[in-house]
Formats: sequence, structure tokens, C-alpha cells
Amino acid sequence: MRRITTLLTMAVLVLAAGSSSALAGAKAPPIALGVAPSKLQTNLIGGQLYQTDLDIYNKGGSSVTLDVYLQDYTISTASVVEFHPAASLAESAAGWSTLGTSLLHMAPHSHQQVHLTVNVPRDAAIGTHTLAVIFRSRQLRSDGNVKYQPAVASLMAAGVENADGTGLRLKGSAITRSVEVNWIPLHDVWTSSDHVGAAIDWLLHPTVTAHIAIKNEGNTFFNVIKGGTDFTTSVALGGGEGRVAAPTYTILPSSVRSVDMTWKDAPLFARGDAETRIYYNDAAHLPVVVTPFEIIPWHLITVVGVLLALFVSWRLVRRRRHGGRVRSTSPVSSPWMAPGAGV
Amino acid sequence: MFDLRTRVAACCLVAAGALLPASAASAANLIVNPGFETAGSSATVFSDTWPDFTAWQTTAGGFTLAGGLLTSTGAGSSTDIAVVRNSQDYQDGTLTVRASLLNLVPQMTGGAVVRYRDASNFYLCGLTKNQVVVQRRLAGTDSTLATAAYGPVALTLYTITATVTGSQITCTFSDGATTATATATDASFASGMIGVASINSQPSQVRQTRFAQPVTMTATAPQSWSGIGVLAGQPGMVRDLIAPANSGAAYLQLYGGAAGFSGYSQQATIAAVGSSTYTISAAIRSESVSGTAKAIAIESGGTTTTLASVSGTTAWGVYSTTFTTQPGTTWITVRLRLDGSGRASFDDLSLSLSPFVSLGLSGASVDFGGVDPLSSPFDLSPALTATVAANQAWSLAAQGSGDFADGTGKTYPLARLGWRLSGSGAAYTALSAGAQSVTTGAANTPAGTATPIDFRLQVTYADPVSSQPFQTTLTYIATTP
Repeated sequence: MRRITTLLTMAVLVLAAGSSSALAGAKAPPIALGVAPSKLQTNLIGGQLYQTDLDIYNKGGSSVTLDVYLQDYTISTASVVEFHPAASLAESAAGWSTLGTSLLHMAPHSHQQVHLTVNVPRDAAIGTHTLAVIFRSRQLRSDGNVKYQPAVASLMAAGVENADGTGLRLKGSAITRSVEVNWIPLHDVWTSSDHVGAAIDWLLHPTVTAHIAIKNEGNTFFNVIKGGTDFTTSVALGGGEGRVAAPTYTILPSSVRSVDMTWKDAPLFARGDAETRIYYNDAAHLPVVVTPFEIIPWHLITVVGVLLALFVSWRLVRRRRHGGRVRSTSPVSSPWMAPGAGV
Repeated sequence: MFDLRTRVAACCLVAAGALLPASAASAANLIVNPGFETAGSSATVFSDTWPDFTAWQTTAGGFTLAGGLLTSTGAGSSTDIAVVRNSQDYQDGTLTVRASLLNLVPQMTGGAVVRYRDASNFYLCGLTKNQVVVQRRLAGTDSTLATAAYGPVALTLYTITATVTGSQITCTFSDGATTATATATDASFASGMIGVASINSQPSQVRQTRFAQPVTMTATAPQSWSGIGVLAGQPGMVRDLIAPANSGAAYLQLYGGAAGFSGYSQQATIAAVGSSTYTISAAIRSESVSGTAKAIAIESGGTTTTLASVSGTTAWGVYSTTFTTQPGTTWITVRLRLDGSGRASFDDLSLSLSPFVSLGLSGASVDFGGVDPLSSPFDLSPALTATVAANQAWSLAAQGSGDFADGTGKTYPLARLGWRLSGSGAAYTALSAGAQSVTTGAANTPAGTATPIDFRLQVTYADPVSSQPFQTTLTYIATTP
């Protein structure tokens, strides 16, 4: 009896230990890093010195060690930042740049600054030069198959110009690749937890997406400061107009960025225009592009059509059946006595 | 089949790439007239009550200062000149001095000096025994350019104003009741220092001019910027167009005549938000600065952030720093300040909300435990939640460091691990050593956007077996592209 009691006690202890370890794992503080400014943008001239402080934040509850290093970068059409070894790209500013430190030890919920110096060579090529300062956590747990290294980056774009302020050309355009009217797929109605709501969306609530390509054909970067696409309608049923703000991207020279702007409260039926206006500073914008669109409620039309077809079919079938009896030539004898009928 | 799309106007409307006229901006600059290109109204840019003579330098002859009165030495056939140290970039403006001739005699002129280049080249708005004169000394030779009659009394202080606008020099005499004005046009000097002078052409007699405080220089300040603010000594400022600016044509210069001076110009009460991150930047150049030239952001609650501390002589350099405002901050004053002697120039100021991005991960790793081909695939849903907060459009990317390895030389491909956004129902995307976009989003501070991510690990019979755990590392990186 005593042995059984001991075994039971041990089992309880083992379970308790397992639970506490699981609990400890669940309460592991998240890793959280932040950087400001996450974009560094300036115009410089050959021979000029640029100095700045980058603020790095450890917002997590654990101490972290960060590697701080320079990389080159490019940004894809889909806005994915791709990093390359420092000074590997022709437009790199990494060779001119030095960091105040390459390693940071940060206490929980703390903040530090890292000094960045960019010493532009006198013979630096006119145009935009880029650089990424990356802060990557070194803290890795030894267990686990897949370990994570969170990182944040500050992306620098420096326009190198002549001493008299010339040399940088700002040239850009916005192109409407297409304007699409989308309805949610029927699959989403089946899989939605709110079937009725999803069905209504499927029938009545389209979205209109303007697919815009923003091109930079100059030799200096520009930013999408504000603007977006205005959806206006000349004829509409179930709504009026909408505005969708453009994302605040930086467009590097010789690059194209795809931007999708989706009007979620589009009317059921409409004919109108999508007008895209991208501001690259407070007051100036790229040439405006206007693209017409039409919204036709195909789902509703299909459903109504199918229902009508079913109704007509039902009526036809019913009439055919009912009409066959009506057209019967043999009189139906009444259950009631006919006048003159003898008893 | 019911995912109907209406693709209308599939034809692309293309606007040809246009050469754009205005410069690009990185973010909304909260500072008005950041490059000082726009002139504002007239303001006091230098003032001295002569508690001492430290703001001045005597370039010819000599002076005696006592009780706020400056008296020229007045030796025979000599010129006494004192100019405000480091004030050489003044072009247009009005210099006001109070002066009296101690002797109402011929061959004597005393008054205000403008556009002083050296002791042989300057304009003088002077008083003689019966005239107010516009006088030019060019290569050491004095010429009277214009005159106006008046009747002074010896030892009486009169106000003399020297106004220079382009090539026009106007000298005005006032005794409080009457005025006399002489105007001349001359383009010999376009800029120069300000000061006072007394010219005695009589070789054998002492003839003196006495100057009384205050000496005041007013000139056009940059629009939306203050005139000179004085913390110590008698500093001055110039909306400068002389030397090449960092950009454009204009910049702001502060100058000081002695080490103990401290002065500033500022743009006050710029609306700001508490608990927000701002970036302040400026181009700064220094010439023989004994102390420091700096830009300071002063929050409404008094908290200050100092940008740069430039001293000595430096070419235009660009400086920036970032700070987070106090919770109760409602405005920020941007102050450009020079402590000490020398000249400090400022251009291309910027104060803007700082682009910010943060990334939080729900854990440091995941463990699939023991895996085998028979039980594959192994799903973790979600394996990880990445939370991105940014005040700009942001992007989250994932990048693998390499294949799974057990530390003993055995590996299997990283691509065995796939990911997808939780709840998307999408197919798993194999991870790679290249950056893959996980998700993007619009500005979302302060809440951020949590993105749960599923993992699927699929091992095959071709993969090696090991008693050691296979590991790899993924880097998640958040940016504001």
C-alpha cells in the first residue's frame, strides 16, 4: 500500500513538473524590436558628411543582443525588401558608411541609439545610393527545430547631387494596369461561419480593385506621401463613391511598384471611373490616370435567372400537367344529383 | 465557377513618365520655410546696449567705452572704425545708432557704417557740422554720394539710420522732431559688416564722435522664423545669401563676437503629438565656432532634444536624430542656437514624424519533436505569430539561413519546411534562403497587426536520420519599403 502511495505521489509530481514547464514555455516573453527612423532619406553632395542617430527599441520582456550591420537592398515590385551583401550593388552607400557599434546588449523595455556616419566621396556618382542598417536579434533558444531571429531595418536612400543642387531628376508615372470588379467566391460562402452574411456579400457586395504600377524613371527616389484612387460613379445602384489611400511607399530609381487599391464598399451596379493621384510631396503629384469600370451583379443576375428559369419551368410543368386534365374531353360526373335524375 | 470577375478596361491607360517639377519629400515637414528661401518681415537681428565692447572689433583708430557711451579717439587725420565682429554677411537692412559730434567743425564726419569690407572700403552714413551724408570709402578714397542739410547742436545725440537696399543707400538724421534724408545709389559693395566710424580729416586737431546705446540692426528675417534671441552677450543673425547654401540660395547664419555669447533664432510652437517619434534634421556649417552650433527641439513641457554640437570650422554637414515626445507634448519649438564666437550656418531644417517599424514574435523557436516520414507531414497551426506595428506601409519577410542540420554533418533541405498564413487555406510555400514576402500592410500604429503563421514539415525517407535534433534558423524582418 505504501509503495502504491509513493508511486501515485511521484506520478502527481511528474505531471505537476510537466505542467509547470509547459506553463513556463507559454509565458515566455515575446521578442519585440523596433527602429526609428525606419527610413533615412536625404540629399547630399560629394564630400559631404551625414550623421544620424538611429533609435532601436527592445519592447520585449527579455534582454536581447543585437547584431547591427550594413547591407545593400533592393525592393521588388511586390514591395519585398531583398538584402544583399554590403557594397555589392553599384548604387550602394555601404562603402561610405560606418556604424557606431556592431553589437547592442539591450535590457527589457529599453532603448538605445546607434550612430551612423555617411562620408560621401567627392567623386560619388550623381544619383540615388542606398543602404540598409539591420538590427537582428542574436537571442536563440538552443532547443527547437526552427529558431527565429526577428530583425528590423532602417532603409536609407541618399540622393547625391551636384554642389549647385543639380543632377537629380525626378521622373515618375502611375499606370493603371487594370480595374477589376471582384465578388467573393462561392467557396467562401460555404466555408464562412456566417453563411447568410457571406451569401449576401456574394450576391450584392463586390469590391473594385485598381491595379496600379508606380514607376520611377528618374535618378532620385520619391515617396508616395499621400493620394490614392478615387472611385466615382456616373450611374450607380447601392452606393456612390469611395476613396482608397495609397500605401506610403518609397519608389527607388529605375523601379516599379505594384499597388492594389481596393474599394470595399462598391455599389451593386455601377458605371464609373477610377482616378489615381499619387502625391510625391505635399502639393505635387504624378500625372493623374483615369480608368473606367463597370460593375454588373453577375451573381445576382445568375441567381435571379436561375430562379426565373426554375419558376418558368415549374409553371410549364404544372401547366402541362394541369392543362392535360383541363383539355380532357370526357366530362366528369358530378357527385351531386343532376337535375332530372331519377331516383 | 461562380467566382465571376468583370474585367473592364483591361487596356492599360498609360501616362507617360513625366519629368516632375517639384522636389520629392520624404515625409511631411512640419517646419515652415525650412530652407529659409522665403523672406519674412523685418526683425531685430543685432542689438547692443554696450555694457562692454566684446561684440566689436576696432579696425582702425580707437574708441573709449564708458557708461554706455563710445567715444572715438579722434586723432588728427585719422579714422576710427569699430565693427561688429563676424557680421560680414549683411546685405540689406537698417542700422540705427545714436551719435553726437563733440565738435561742430569742418573736416569731420561720424556715423553708422554699413557693408564694411575693410578699413578702406565701406559706406558711412555720417553727420558733418551741417549735413547728413552718404559717404563711400572705396580703396581708401572717400567720396560723398549724397547729402541733406540739417542743423545740429554740439554734444547733442541724434539718431542716424543707415538703410541699404540693393544698390540704394539711405541715411536719415532725426532729432526727434525733424528729419533729414540723403539717398544715394551705388553698387560698389553688396555686403559687409556693420559698425560705427568717425573720420577726422583735420591733421592737427582731435575731433571726436560719441556714440550712445542702443545700436540696433534690423533686417528681413526668414519667414516664420524669429529675429535674434539673446541668451548671453550680443549675438546676431543674418538671413544669408552670400556663401553657397546647402541647397537653394538662402540659409540662416548666427554669429557671435565672444566665447560667452549665446543666441538663437527659432520657429515656435509647431503642433506636435505626445508619445510620438519625430526626426529632426538640419544642415549645419561652422566657421571658427568656439562653442557649439546646434538645433534644439523644445517640447511644450520643456523637454529638449539637441541635434549635433558642431564646433570649429566645418563644411556643410547633414545631421539628424530621432526623439520620442513626452505624453503631454502639444507643440515643439525648433531653435537654432550658437554658443560662443564664430559663425554658424543652418539650412534645410526638417521636423517630421519618424517612420517607425517594430516586429514582435510570439516565441523564439518551435519544436516539431521527433519526426519520421511515415507520419509526415507535421503541421503546427499557428507555429508563430508575428506582430508588426508601423506608421508607414510595411512589409514582413522571412528568410531561411540554410538547410536543417543536426550539427554532425547531416542535413536535409530547408524547403522541407513550408509556411502559410493561418486560416488562409492556401498551399504551403517552401521556405528558402531568399527573402519571401510574408505579408504587407498599411500604417497600423499603435495597435499593430498580428499575423499567425502555420508551418508544415515534410520529411522523406531520403532524408538522413539522426539522434541529434535537426535545426535551422529563420529571420523575420520588418521594414517600411
